[in-house]
Amino acid sequence: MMRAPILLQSRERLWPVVRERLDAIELGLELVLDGLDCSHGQHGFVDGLARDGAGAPVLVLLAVEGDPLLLPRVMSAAEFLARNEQALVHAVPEGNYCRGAVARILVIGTEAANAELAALQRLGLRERGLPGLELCRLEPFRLAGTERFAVSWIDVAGPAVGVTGAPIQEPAAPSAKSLASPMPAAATDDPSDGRVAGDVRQAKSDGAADDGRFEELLDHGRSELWQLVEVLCDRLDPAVRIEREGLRRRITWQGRPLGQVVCRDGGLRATAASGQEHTLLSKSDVRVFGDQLVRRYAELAGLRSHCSVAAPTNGVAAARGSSAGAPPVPSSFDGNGSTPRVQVRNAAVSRSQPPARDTLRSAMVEAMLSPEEFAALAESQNAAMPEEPPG
Amino acid sequence: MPHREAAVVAFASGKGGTGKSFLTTSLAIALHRRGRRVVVVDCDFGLANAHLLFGVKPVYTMRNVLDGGVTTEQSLTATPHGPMLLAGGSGIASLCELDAGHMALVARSMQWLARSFDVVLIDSPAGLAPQALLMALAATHVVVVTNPEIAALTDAYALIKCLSRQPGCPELHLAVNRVLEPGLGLLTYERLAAVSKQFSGCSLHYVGEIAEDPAVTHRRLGQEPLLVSHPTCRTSLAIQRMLATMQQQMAGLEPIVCTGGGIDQRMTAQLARW
Repeated sequence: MMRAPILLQSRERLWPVVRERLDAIELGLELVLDGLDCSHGQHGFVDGLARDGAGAPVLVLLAVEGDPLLLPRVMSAAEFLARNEQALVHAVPEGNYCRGAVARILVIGTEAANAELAALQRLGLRERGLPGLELCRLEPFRLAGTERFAVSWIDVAGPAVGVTGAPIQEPAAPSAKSLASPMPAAATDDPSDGRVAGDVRQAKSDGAADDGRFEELLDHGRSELWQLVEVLCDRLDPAVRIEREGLRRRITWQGRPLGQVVCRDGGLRATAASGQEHTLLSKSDVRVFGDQLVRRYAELAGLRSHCSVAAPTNGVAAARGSSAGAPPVPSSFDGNGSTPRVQVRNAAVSRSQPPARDTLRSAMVEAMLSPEEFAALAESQNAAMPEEPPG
Repeated sequence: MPHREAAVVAFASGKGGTGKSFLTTSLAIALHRRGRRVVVVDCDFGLANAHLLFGVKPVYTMRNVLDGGVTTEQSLTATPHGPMLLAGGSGIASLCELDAGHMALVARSMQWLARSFDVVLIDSPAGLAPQALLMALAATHVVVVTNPEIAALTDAYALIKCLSRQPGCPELHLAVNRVLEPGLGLLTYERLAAVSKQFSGCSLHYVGEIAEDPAVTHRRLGQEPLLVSHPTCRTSLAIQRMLATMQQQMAGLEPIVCTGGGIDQRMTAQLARW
């Protein structure tokens, strides 16, 4: 049976789909208001005014097939931003924009709008002294009967970058809002199959989508803290990678997430795989987060298997056989298709945290001698020590 | 992937001053004289003194490794008596102040050492700090060093009790140092083993006793180790006997073929319980 295109090609019908999932396209991106007219009605409306994770204004435009006004609309939007970039802080107070944050334009297209995106790619706004332009293409696909779309970021300075090159596959970690409003039926799989539609996967090509804003937005102190995290990851295991993705840095081991750090409003927000969040303000915060990374790494690498055994096991064989006979980790920690935020949503309980009694620190409490033990030792001591002659 | 790994023996104690460093360095020299490639890792970072007993002045210590300035290999100090030493560096921040990242680096250093030497002897910090437990639990054997006095005995028992309750606890052995009369070490062991068995359900192996010897306690810095200067004195002979017992109890202290995780993974596993 032939299926209709997953993503609608009409701008009016595509925008409601996209506007609910801006955060899945770029982490932290949220819509402030719809319909911005910045060309006095000549070129149509900019689809939305959004705020990114750094608190900067982002004009969001949709590119659909055969839209002759797209190019002039983007140009007028760019000129508008160039004139009013900082004024938007006061003019749109509901945006809660950060003063000094660099505004930009984000054009989201579909595969049918390749020609329009290619034209925008050649526009060269930066060369003209206009605000930055980012292009991305939504590419739908079906997986296990559910429909998803990948986000391919297009390098405005060079040729288009597709979803090739081992894109970062990650569940969308949909917000409550997006879960509550799935894709329209016409744009999704047959709803009668009972599957939840609108499960968005985002994939950005490693490096291509990263414009270095993460590092730029960090002040000296935060930058040092981030470097500490990098050093920790470097030390932990050579296979630990930090994947750059806009304002987010995902820390993975063999492709499985250990945690992530997001730059939000100039600060660093770290989320461990358990879902536990830390605002990185000091080295001790980094230490706590690092502790979570190590725990998660040990869990994924099967190193915590013998630590989870309740009864003590004397003999080195138990320790040595730990890796070979590692019991399966809980399914929620299999690392495949799980993100920290999904963990929070699904599990709610931090299971990577060892029980309070199962830490080395808590072990010290157990070492305290009972009166009976002390008496037995003292008695033995009296029996063992040679008696000294009186006087 | 199967790999060769050295026998890793940690010398621990519940109380300071029991003679861990003396035993570690002496046994290292004795092992070296039996043709083994031995390295001593001084993990008592706060109060490291193994380099003093070896009579060397290390250029690099574990601190340099942790700072990333040198590799583990570069940080080793050759001692005049054979064993290599990875010095702890007195006066640096104690191991308890090291974070997980640093401990991960220690784990990688230990991995390199375990693959490069036949025997790794760890001079653990005294007490029940998590870092002491971490080092002990990462070893293949732990020798608890105690004295026959009640304070040392209760602290040793506390350590044994604590270690034995940890998952992945290695075999526990007991060495009694500074005994006043021959046989007192064995008596101490028997009592301690009985109490450990009764209350903690763990077994202890006795590796021997070292008599109280003024030649050890009054030894000055710069003097050669007793095993070198007086190889036939009663303390040196006791050390040789202790080593023979350890070899019997610890599979000859031979390197093993490790099919699972090595010492770095054992450390990381324990680190996850930090």
